[in-house]
Amino acid sequence: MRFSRKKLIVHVSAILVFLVIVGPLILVLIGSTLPETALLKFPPDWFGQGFTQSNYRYIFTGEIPQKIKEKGTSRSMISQEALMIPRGLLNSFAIAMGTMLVNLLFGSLAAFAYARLRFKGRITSFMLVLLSRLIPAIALAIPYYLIIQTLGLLDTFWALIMIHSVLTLPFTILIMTIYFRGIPLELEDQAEVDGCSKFQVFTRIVIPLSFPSLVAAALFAFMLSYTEFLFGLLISSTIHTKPISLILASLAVNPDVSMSLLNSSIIIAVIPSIILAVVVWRFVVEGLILGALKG
Amino acid sequence: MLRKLKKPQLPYLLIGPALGLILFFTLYPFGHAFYTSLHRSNPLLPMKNFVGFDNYGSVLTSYYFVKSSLNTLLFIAATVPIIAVLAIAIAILLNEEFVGRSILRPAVLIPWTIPAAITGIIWQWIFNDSYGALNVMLYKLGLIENYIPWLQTAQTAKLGVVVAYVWAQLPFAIILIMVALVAIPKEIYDAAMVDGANPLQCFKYITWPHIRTMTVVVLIYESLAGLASYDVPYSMTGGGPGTATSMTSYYIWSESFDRLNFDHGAALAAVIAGVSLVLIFGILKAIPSDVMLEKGET
Repeated sequence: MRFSRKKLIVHVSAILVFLVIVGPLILVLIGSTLPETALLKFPPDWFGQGFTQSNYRYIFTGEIPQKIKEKGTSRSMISQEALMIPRGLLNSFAIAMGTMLVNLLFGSLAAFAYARLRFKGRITSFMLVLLSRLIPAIALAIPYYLIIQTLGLLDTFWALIMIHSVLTLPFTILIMTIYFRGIPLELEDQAEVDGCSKFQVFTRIVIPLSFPSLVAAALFAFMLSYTEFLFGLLISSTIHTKPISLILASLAVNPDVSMSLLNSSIIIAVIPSIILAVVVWRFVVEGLILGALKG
Repeated sequence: MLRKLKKPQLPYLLIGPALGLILFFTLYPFGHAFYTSLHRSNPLLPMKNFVGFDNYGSVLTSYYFVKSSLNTLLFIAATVPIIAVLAIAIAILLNEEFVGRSILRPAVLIPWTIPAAITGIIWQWIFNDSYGALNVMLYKLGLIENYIPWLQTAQTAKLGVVVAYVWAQLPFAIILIMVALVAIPKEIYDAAMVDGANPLQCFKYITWPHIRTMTVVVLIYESLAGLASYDVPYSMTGGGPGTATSMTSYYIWSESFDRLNFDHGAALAAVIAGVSLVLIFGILKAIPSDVMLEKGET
């Protein structure tokens, strides 16, 4: 039966879920193209004044919107701070990439050891790694600052990469360890019989077979680093290292930033990560599904 | 599965970098924080008096602690079940075939890609009482005469914060449930339908046993996250109105950085860490032991 009740429920639910999940972002997108005066009007009339791209043009080229000369607009609705957005994007990307690489490298090596090798202190150290996430990040803020300061690494990418890695490694090691365990032992045994060293087993067998989990771990590390706020606030002081999350937070409380400019900033900040997540997700889903079906 | 090695140092070399990084940035700071919590110090004067657990005492009995703890408890009690139920429902939905599934599946990831502080800002705009998107839409639909001050009233402010937080946490929970869900072979459902089972029975006897463990994981993770969360509520309401949406974890920040009472802040952090541990063990104990074991593993 084509039009079964179930199909109806499923499709309606799907639309509802889409609206609730993506709705807020669509609202932000719309808001970023509306002039400030339209957004603040009561009785509300969002679309009465048409759309504008002036916010985006301002952020990327510094061109002041014409609207500012219009009567009724707040004089100071443009702030220089918004021009820092492109640089902030670059910073966040660099830090997130670094965190991702550290996670892949250190994490996969550690996961291999936990998954396949027996050694003293295996359980204890694994527990320590997992439990390290229990401590509220704020409590460690001051000691972190002191350590970084002593190392002379304040306001550098390296400091943030290190800290973000510490925050993400427990989870990425967990993902990779579980997945590594699921790889049939016979493949590795066969390789060793054929004369591979343990390291070659790692690089030639385990890594290629566990690709989905590596991609998932990489994505997780990237996302956590990109969205992190607290330590970025503590460590970075100049625009050289300021992550985008900090710049956006500061724009939000800046009285010289109009609502529509703020919306545009949000869109610019989240579009890269959304594209990344969506593109990579399909890859991860296929991999995880195939992996789950195997095991 | 594990055997002896020719080079016994190998494992330590492998876990060395990761473990070293983590321990250096965890043990030392934690030790430092714990040490601080046992002393009364002053950032301006170089003095440190050992006061034992006095700091803990004054923190645990302070008005703000009691208020924020109640808020946090309420917060966790509200968000954790909602997240779990919604995540399961949406995961099941995403497992079904329907037009546009390939769009919806990646789309549910979106809240996860947004920094928490931004989430607060977005939802603050939506719930805003002067120009918020929600009020605009309700007005246009003719449902309200005057804008509702969502974030200025204690009860609705709490509601707003819960909505925003659940929205932000859903993608992660959905992913976790989906991992467990896709392992269920479709044939089981077909066989059950042939035998005349209705959807509710399908869920109870087929779906639920497979996703039970993962649901526990979600419950634990979301409880811990709720306990430690502060960015979404804070960037949305600043803890207000009054203290209606102030959480315990923000309390640590304000004690340490606003009032410069680092010892109090450290004591509070130790308390929260302890509560987290208790919470984990509590949830694990409440689950029958066979749920945690799967496919013969121990």
